[in-house]
Amino acid sequence: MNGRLRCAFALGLIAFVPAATLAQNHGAQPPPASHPAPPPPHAAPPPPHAAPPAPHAAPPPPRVAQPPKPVEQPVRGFNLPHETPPAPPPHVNPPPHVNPPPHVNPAPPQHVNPPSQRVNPPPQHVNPPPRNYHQATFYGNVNYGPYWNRFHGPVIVNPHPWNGWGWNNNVVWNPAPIYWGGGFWGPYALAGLAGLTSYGSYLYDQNQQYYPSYAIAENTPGEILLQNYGLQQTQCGQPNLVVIWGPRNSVICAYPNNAVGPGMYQVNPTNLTLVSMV
Amino acid sequence: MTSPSYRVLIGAIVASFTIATAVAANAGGVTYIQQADGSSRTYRDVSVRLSGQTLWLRSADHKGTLKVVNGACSFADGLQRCLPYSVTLYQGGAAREIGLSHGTVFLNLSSEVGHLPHSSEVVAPQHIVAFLYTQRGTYISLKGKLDEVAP
Repeated sequence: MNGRLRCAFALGLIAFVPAATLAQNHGAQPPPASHPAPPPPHAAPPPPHAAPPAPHAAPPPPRVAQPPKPVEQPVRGFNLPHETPPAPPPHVNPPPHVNPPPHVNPAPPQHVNPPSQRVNPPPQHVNPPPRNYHQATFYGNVNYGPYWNRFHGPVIVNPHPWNGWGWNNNVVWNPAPIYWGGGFWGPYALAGLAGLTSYGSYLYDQNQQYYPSYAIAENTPGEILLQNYGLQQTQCGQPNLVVIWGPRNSVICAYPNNAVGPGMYQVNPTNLTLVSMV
Repeated sequence: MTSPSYRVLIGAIVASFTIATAVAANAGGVTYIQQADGSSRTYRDVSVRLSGQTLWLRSADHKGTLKVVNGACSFADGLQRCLPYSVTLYQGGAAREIGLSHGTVFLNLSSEVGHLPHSSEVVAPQHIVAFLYTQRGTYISLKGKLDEVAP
């Protein structure tokens, strides 16, 4: 007898638990906190036919006029009322301080010595640019600051030999336009730049334009780049620094070392290398 | 102690939890949207589809779809981290661009559990965790299983 009771309890448990789980999964959505939205459709009272008539019972009485159902306006799809009309995109535009690159030969950079004054550039790390080398091209509108068309100098081979996009698990890295540097140095949205501590800035003396710089975030392509070359970031604005122009007019600076002398470089994200300026 | 009734009881409990787990695993993604005024709403059973670097979130009633375009996908602690830069809501026969301030999408396309950087939060294999913040102050977060991954 006791065993039968336990069996009955077990069977009841089998039937109850999944039903309860289903009820939780498909249960009513919680209404918004401040908007008194109408109750969801599942919360409506059960239909009259929910109660099965007892066998051999008298036929059910004719249905009387049902009270009108409450007008329910369930939220269909995603409810984003505050996102209409479309917000003006003031933050998506390129930063106002970035001017189109000039096409005239700019004067020598203010903070950086010319390449002829580089300190200890080990020749074994400097390879001539490949014949078919051209501006690093990949998806997206990528600008490299005011000197974007002048990086055709020697390629500083990455001490960590990467094949193609191997540095990124063979996944192509494309810039995300609304972030500073396209997200190469860190997930900094243009709208949130004001909250960041500036890490110096680069002054392009041709038009007295400042290019702000920010600290590189961890676990970013920019950090991998600096680690590979053994570079340490520092604030821009000092003389004799390694100035690296990244995607979308971003710039960071680092102390020179035996692998990379002071000067200006451009990031080639396809193989995570530095290309010096002619 | 090991009478047949106990075995049935234990078997029933195990079966119940197995079914419950399976049902929960099929629930898809859960999207939480908090408006700028503080009101919030949770959407369950959201279909999550990843096509290339584009994320498609479809509501359970199939009435609305959020398209999130990602870029700058790199890897951090085994997780693929992408930066969304475009969000479009397809609903009611219209497409509405939503101005995005910033956000992060973590994808675990591997077969091992991954940890979010600087967090105790884990992302199960073939799961996604995403946080978006719009220019109008709306938070959109998503957590759940990737129902489909297409190249």
